[in-house]
Amino acid sequence: MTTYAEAAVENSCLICGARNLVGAMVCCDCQAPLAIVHDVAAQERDPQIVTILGESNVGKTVYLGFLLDMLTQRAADYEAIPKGAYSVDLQQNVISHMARRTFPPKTAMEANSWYWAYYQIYQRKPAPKWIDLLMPDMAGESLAAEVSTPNTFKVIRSLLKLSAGTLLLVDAAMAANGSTQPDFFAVKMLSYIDSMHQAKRDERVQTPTAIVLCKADHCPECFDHPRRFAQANLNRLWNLCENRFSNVEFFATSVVGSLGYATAPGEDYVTPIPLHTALQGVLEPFQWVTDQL
Amino acid sequence: MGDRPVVVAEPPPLPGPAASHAVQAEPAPAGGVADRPLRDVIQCDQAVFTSVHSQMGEGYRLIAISPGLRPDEKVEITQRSPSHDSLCDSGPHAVGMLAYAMASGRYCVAYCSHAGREHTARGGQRVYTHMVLLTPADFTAFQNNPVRIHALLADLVSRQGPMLKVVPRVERLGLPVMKPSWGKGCGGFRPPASQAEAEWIWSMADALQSGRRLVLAGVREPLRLLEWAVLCLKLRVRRGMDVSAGLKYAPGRRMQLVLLPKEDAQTQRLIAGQDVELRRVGQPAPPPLPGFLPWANLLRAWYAQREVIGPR
Repeated sequence: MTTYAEAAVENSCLICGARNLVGAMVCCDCQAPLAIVHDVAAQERDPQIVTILGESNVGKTVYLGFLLDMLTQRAADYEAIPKGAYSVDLQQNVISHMARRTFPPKTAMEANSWYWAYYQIYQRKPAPKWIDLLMPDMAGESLAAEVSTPNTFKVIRSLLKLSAGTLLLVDAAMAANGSTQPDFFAVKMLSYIDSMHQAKRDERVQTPTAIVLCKADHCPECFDHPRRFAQANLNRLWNLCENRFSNVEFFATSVVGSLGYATAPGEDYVTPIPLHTALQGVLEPFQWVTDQL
Repeated sequence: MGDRPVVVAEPPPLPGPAASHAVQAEPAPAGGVADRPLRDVIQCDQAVFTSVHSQMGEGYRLIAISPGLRPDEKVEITQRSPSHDSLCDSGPHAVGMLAYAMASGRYCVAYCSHAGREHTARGGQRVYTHMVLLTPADFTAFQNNPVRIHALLADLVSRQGPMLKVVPRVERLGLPVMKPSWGKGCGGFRPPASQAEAEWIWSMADALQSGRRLVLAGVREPLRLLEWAVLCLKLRVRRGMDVSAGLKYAPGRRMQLVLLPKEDAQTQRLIAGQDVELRRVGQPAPPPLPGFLPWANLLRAWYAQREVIGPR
């Protein structure tokens, strides 16, 4: 990994290590914002990267936006200080859209349009500690493309190699409806991480991995027993976690309190309208991951 | 035709496609490609990159591919194709073009448009990209002119509509090669409106020939200007062009020439310190580089004499 000290001197990207010209604002190779390098250098310590993974339309942007908003509002005694205005963009985008009762737009596959959040987080309990967290909001399609053909998006591989913790979002509502798609995507994603670590048969991946069962308001039983839900509805994922990942926990989460559906004459689509938000289980997975760091 | 510039000998584009593919263009005259006399049909691999929901996945990906596409070509297409909100214009009739030399040796020409609203209903339009992959020999049949191939794709999509179902194996596409009508002037596409516009065309050609990376903002009819710039280049140079028009600047697309309708703060941020030049059409064109100067002088002379590229 390129350390903050090396990166600051050579204007190298902290994610991929590429050297950039003075004055560059995004990395010439992976398009990560180079403002991160300058902000990290100012802290004089390397940040810890937590990656949010999940397939397209699972709700990564909404989850991350609300998580960051809760942290900045001192939820659970956390204190979060965004480093740079770019860190606030995602949170603002999500909150302002949800306040207007619309979901935020899709995240594009082009890495230059991803949001990056760099936060300094103070955790009071169990023991006071500061954590510098870097959390990119990647497009689900880019993740799918990288998992299916490694090195399609090198920035994803670089990020996952540097990750101190992972939040894997899985669509619990689809799984509860009998769809196998969430299970297969999650298995592909974890199998990619497993092969990236090149662990031997008897070694397991140590990186803290929180499996976040999203849209749990559609299947409330998820909140009572997330592990049981996963074992029953996401059995392939459950088995892989048992076999290959030593530090896994399951959580249920929900952001939308009630959903309306709208359409208009001549429209092909029914648009879901988030009528109000009722956050449940948003902070817990993050709390668990930071406890492991 | 050899390796020399072919401004004079280039068969003119036909009125139908040339006009119909212009980004935010004038209305298309009657008569599509299908009405034109064919000299030959080139069979080439095709692919569609867009966002659909299927049992195998969700969102932007290659949904239709000819069997001839190699795995490395699929990766390159996925890396360089536009996804959500990538067209400069957010309107339903926006059109863009992407043309690039692939690492495999083939040349990719893509027609980008909007195909209805984004299917997850999260706002915005669904970006639809229909592309063909041409071998060097096939590309030469079109005088290595991607704008002409883009026009054929525009015509195909407008006649058949976008392909929005997953088709794991789609047949190769037959592209009609137009019968050239030599020496009849510049046909359906308008010559440069002014000396200043002509200077910008030569500046674009200069950038493409010298390998400089240029983002040109404020271009109103990008495909018309691009076609003129292409016609000012040697066939050899045309084979290696990486150009886009009507698509937002994205470094990951690795384009050499990007034509934008207007300049924006995001583009400025992305190109800062990246060895990419940003120019605005409203300003005077920069002087040609020494390597291009003799050719630029010849073009100027032709323009002054109202020959080939000159105003009529």
